[in-house]
Amino acid sequence: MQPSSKKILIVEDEAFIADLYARQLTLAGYQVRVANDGQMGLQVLEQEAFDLLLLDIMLPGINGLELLRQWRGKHPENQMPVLLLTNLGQDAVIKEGFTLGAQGYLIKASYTPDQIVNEVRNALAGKQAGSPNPPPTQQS
Amino acid sequence: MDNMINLPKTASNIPINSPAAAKLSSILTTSNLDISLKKALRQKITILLITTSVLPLILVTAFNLIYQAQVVAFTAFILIVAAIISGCGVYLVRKYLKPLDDILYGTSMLVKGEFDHKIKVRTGDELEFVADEINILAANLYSLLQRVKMDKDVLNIEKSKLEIIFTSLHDGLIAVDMNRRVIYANKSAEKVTGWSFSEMQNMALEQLIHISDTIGQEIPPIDYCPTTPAQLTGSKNFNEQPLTVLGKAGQRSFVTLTSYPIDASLNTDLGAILVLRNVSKQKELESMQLDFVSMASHELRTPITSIKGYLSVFINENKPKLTAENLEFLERIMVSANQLANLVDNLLNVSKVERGAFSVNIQPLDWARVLTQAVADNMMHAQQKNISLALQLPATPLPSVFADMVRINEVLSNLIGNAISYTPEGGKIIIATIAQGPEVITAISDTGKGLPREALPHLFTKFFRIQGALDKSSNSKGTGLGLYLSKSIIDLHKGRIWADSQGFNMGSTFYFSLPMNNKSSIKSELAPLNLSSTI
Repeated sequence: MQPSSKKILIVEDEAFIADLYARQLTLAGYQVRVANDGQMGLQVLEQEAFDLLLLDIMLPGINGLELLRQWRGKHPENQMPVLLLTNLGQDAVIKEGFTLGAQGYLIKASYTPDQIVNEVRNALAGKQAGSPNPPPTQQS
Repeated sequence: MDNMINLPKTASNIPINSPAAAKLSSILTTSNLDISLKKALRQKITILLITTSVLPLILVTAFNLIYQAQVVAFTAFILIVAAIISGCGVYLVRKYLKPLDDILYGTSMLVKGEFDHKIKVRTGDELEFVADEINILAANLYSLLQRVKMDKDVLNIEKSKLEIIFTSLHDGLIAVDMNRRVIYANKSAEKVTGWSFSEMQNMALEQLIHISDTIGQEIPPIDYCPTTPAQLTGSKNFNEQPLTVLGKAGQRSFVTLTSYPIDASLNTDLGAILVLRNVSKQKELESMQLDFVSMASHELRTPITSIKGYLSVFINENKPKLTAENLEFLERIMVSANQLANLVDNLLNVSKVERGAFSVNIQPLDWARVLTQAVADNMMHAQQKNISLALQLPATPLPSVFADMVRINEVLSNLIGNAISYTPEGGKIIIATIAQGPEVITAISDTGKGLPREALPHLFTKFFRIQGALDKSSNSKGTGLGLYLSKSIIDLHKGRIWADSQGFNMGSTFYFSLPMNNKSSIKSELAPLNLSSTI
């Protein structure tokens, strides 16, 4: 593993999905950490520096949005790109993620792991990753 | 016989603790019994004394008269007299002293609680009367005792029943007295507050929990748990809004709360009943604003993500090791997983349409560019069936159209996908667009199965499907929802959508219109987006 390889934190409670993404990202040459809930995610973020955050929204305990809120509250200057990985179709929720400073969102069920790796690559290169805009304004 | 005169004065060794027992002991300590017995006793003793003193006198007198006669006769006479006296003695004892003894023994048995013992006195006088009364008393006592015991058992059963009911109540229940001290709390209340019942018992509510409303303001106990009608008028109805309960060690729960003051005229120590329904889970969902369909589709997508994910990686990493048939099988699995994913997407969208929660973000778009991209996206799919996919743009550049980039691409994806599905190998699909009046009309024509005329009015309804797409492995949104959603989207764009066909196997054309932006400035909003779920 190159010493300059980027560090990615995956916060995802579904073990199958977390394992798969971690595996593919590791194979692609990145250093990967996994947190299985919001609380743990916050702790890990405090302890180590990451180049990218892949954040699921539906998490036990504090959810992804709450994590983002707390993280931004504590470290408003932090520029780490955040990609929302979610299976939520609830657009208001995703929109809130953007308000909290996410760069893009991906519906997990619509992407293969390799496509996800690709999006990560784009995001790290400063290019657009995932859907750039919150879904069209929904009433709920 | 212990002591003839010393009658038991109390019934303290009857082991019942109740008003009935007190009544019983008072019956037994009544001096009436004493009086009867003493009276009978005195009478009997008097008779005894009289007979034992008078009788010898008579006999001595008789003796004097007979003494003048003979010695033998005299001795015999003495013996007879002695016998008579003894006989009298025995008779007196049996008639008077023994019954008394029996009665006293009987009462002592009664005091001990031996209700079965029956005093048997058959002297035909007051003593027999007293004995019978005592027997009746014993029988009454016994049946009273039995009744009390039965009542106690019934009470215990009812108490257990109530306890079971309270314990299995899903809602937390706390009963307090007039001063809002806890008398009773069920298991659910223990869960909500974090305190056990033994910890809560006799404690005032304010020492145990703090209740605050949705904006964080604390609500005083007198408001959320009034115990008198006077307090009731000042209290508010909290039935609908979720409140925060701060319990033991800072434990926080969300509840809806209802309290019922108890009518003081019921003469119990109950002041009020507090019902706490734990709504923490619902609050979580609410905070996410998730309705059932959104929640369900999220849950469905989780295993779909895993299936597609692992399958994709497996196929990619094992292609060289697999036979062609293996690969075909795996690819069919992937197609099916994609169909599942599409179905979930569609269901979610339909639900939004139905709820009126589906709206569009209309922007000016470079229509030519959008169409070009759509063709490119679907090219590979068309090529798999050797279908040619062509785009015909008008000679003069199009003004921009008003549309939602994401949604209009979903429409294109649906229509082009359908065209590919329903067109046989080697067929042709043409996408054409022209400006007409205030609109831009786009047409997607194919050389496929065509549409029966009867079907035309129903095409855009939910779950309508023309029987049998041409290939089972088609990736398209063959759920019967695609056209319905496309129509919903076009409607939201203030456009129109319709279809035409010459008939069976004569191909079909789907049209839709979009309003045009008449302004000359074109703002391009095109970021390449991989929207369709075709893998």
